[in-house]
Amino acid sequence: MMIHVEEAMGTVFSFHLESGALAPPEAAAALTAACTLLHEVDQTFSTWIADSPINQIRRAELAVGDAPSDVATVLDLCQAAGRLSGGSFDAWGLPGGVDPTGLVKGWAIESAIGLLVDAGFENGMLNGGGDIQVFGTPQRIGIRSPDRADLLACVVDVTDAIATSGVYERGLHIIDPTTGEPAERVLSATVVGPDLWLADALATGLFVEGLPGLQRIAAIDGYSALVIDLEGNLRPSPNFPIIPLEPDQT
Amino acid sequence: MAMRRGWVVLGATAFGLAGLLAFDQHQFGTPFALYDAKATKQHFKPKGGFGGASGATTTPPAPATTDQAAPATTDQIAPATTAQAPPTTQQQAAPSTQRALGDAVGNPYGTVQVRVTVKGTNLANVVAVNMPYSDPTSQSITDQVAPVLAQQAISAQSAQISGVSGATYTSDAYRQSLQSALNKLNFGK
Repeated sequence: MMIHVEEAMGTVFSFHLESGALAPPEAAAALTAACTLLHEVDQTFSTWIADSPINQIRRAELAVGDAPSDVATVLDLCQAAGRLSGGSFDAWGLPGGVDPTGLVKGWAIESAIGLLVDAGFENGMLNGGGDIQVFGTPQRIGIRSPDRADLLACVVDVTDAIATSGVYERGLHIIDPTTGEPAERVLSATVVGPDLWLADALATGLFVEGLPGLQRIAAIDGYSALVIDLEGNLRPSPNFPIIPLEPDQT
Repeated sequence: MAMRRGWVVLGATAFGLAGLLAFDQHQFGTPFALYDAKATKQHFKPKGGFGGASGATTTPPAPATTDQAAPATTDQIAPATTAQAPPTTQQQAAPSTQRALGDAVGNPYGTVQVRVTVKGTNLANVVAVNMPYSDPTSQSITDQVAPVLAQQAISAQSAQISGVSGATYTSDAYRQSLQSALNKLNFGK
């Protein structure tokens, strides 16, 4: 097991990789390429970097067609995610121009995993600030408790992607695009599915929408969802892959 | 006295069961509420001693719905004659299996009742024994919630996770996170 921690995009990325038959120099080169990709995505899409292409687009100083090609790709995905979320995820919903932040980290993680798989890694996962893409062997992933960073609310069987949105870190909010106010219908929202770009965006939208969003997500092929409501109860869609009860052997 | 010991052992579990079930520690047999705001205290503690995380934030209390409470009953399965520690020294309670049937608790979708199984000082199982099936809406809600009631209170020793999903936006938050602890332990193989 090869573990690497990389700070990027204002958070921390954890790589857990099994290189299999891959030679160490090749494994190291692929890992470097994956990290480079994360930093490049940050340079392109960060709304915290004044002259990033996304900020130039937001200020109408740059056309999407003149920006790096990743921008058009990501904005297309934002439109698709907006439709699939019933509008609860809306990259164009707030003043200040387009903001793909709720989707781009998931997309970056998925792209980085693509590089690693292409290079020959056989099993692993990449966790970027709690959004995780798994490849190879399915993994047991805990969902963080909303009120305690050191506790889990439940454990989930993940074959591809899992993303969780919540507001339990300091000073950060997810704004409801329909009201312009911070969303506070649930404590956290988790989406499991084949693609992390979509799981990430749907989790953001589900956090805004709350319980009614569960059914819509469960109707998307391969996707399921869980919210932790304001009373701390877990509310999964019926197809959510919670790992079932195992008797305590102690 | 079996009943009294049962509740003391329940109170000694390491999984926040007292908070989760919200029973009154001053009066054994007091009803507990599944849909209480304190349900957020119901968690796994993953294996290993990941101490030091201090990122706890309080959540706004929500009103409990305990309008259909009935008396609790307790049955003790293991022989009661084995050497039991005094009730006040909870960690040294001799291993025994005990079950407690919770009170029926009303919520907007119906009435819920759970049976709790305790082995020694460990919470072994929580099973919903009475869930609402009165109409299609309740059926749907029950299908979603019933397995969770059982899942949430399981022993943390069996969690064996390789990753943690949850919004960790900052580097500080990462350093306090379980993922950070898992990485340090080279865990998840």
